[in-house]
Amino acid sequence: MRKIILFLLAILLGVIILSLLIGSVRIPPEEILKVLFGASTNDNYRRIIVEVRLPRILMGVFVGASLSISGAVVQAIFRNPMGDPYILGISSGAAVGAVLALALFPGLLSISLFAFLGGLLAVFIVYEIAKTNGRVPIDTLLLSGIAVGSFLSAITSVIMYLTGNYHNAISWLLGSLRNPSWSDVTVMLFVSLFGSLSIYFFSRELNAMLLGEETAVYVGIDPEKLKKLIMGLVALLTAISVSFTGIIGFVGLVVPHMMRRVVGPDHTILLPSSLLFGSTLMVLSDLLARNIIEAEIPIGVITAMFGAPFFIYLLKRGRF
Amino acid sequence: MMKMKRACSLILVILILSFSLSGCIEKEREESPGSIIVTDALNRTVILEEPPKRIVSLAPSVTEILFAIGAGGKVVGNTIYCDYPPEAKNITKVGDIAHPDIEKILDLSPDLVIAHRLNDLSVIEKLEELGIPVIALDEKSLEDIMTSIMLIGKITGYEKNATRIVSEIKERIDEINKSVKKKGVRVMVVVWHDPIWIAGGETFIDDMIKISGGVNIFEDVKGYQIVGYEKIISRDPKVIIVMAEHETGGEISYKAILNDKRLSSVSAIKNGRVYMVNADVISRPSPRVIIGLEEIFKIIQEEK
Repeated sequence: MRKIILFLLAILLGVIILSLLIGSVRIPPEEILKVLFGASTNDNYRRIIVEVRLPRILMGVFVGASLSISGAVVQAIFRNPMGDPYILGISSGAAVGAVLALALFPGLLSISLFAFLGGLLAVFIVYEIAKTNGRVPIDTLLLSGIAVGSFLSAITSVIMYLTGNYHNAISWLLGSLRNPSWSDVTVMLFVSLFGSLSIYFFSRELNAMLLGEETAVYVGIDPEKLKKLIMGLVALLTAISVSFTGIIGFVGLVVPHMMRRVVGPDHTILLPSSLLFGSTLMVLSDLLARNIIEAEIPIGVITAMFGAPFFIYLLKRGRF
Repeated sequence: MMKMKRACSLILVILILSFSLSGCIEKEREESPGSIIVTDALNRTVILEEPPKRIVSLAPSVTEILFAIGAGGKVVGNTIYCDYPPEAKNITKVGDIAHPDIEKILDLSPDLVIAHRLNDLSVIEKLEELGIPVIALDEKSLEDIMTSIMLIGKITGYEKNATRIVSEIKERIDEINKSVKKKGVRVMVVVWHDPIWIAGGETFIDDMIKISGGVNIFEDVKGYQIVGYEKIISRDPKVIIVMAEHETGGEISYKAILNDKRLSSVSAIKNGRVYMVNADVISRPSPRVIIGLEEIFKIIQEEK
């Protein structure tokens, strides 16, 4: 199984290198090496590589990792194949925050902050609605997520309609890695590292949850506490990702399924491989988004366009 | 569990701090006596040591203004929509308006980027972060357009030409003011036909209608919006002006409005007062708006 992890790591590195090499401005590979080793005299090349391409690639790595590992655990605790990190209403809540910020005080910082708070607030509402007698039944949680999500999407549309600012709002809703600054990347690095390690720490408990909450109790797990904790971590990872990049769909849903088909349901291996493959897919999608046509295509369009058919192929092949 | 909670709240605090910190860091620049200081539409103060030599324009209107004031030769990059004056077509393209390509912009080594509110905010903020001077424009009225022309004139060192253009625009507006005969003509300006998008209040098209002796029937709707048939019919415009894209042979919207059976009871259609105007002269906040204004004036004041 280690081999798989190493293999995925190698692919990720390959995609990162490819992304450094390809961009709208053609830079010779030897110049890129010079820049990376601090020997370049070309200031434009240095800025393009160090300030534009590299932070964007790393943002893709961390966001892809966060969404995929979140998707994997959501599918585990919900025991539902439709689970994805947006199911708790985070994306819809973040969208309300973002369009509100666009209307009131446009600026990347305020958009990120509002989206983040909107996402967390939405999860909190979904959770509180689903809570009955101190327990949170999975079905109620899913349905409350859908209901709150629809309501918040309606609010987003109303705000967009009233302010007439479709242009910026739609480009945020479709998702893009944008042009992050190094401080954005650093925040994202720490959050995804903290979130992913904490989630990984609960791999064995998640394995037990696959057998049902009752069985989990028998092996000494408190399912309610575990659910609460995992949802807190997923909310953090997803809300912060969405706040930086907008809503990038499909990665969190499909990557864990793909990996489950390759490495099986054991979380100790499923979580790290989902994380690595999610990063790879995100960086690769952004590479395509930036270079297929003259203008930039929203990355969410790419992840769905290539992710969905590949997913269908895996389904039909029915391989395990 | 307690540990986890504490760790969570710690992370939250770090997050909020780093969010707010990254907003506070501002690069301070020395002010020398010869420097140019301007404040742009986003209320940001930009200081240049000397007039720019390599300018990148991120909107067609900006390109038009630059050429009009005589700074066209300094434009090293613009967008794929920058097609006026014709020389603008041959300048290196840095992408479309919504998502200009930051790599291409950097590759041109600009010493000034003139952006617009229509551009992706992340591009503007990234350029700023890299220390490239950026000013951003946003026009909601004719007055704003003149402000933009003066702003670009000042920052590029072509202030005299900008002043001349603005005073010419003002003179021609005065001319129109003097010769308005009919007042209160109900006008609707259609941007697109399916669904019907109109220019509402708080747009410079609304200003043009007012100056020309008209009343925008959708003045209460802010910005560019979709409106329903019932409202159009009940507000009954006397004049309908339809924007035409010259590039795409643009009669589509005009013909669609003319032949729309649902609108057949509207005065403008019954009396044959539906007109087509080149979209570029009424939708681009450039010096050419005066041509658009004069066209709209003629249309509204026409005896029929």
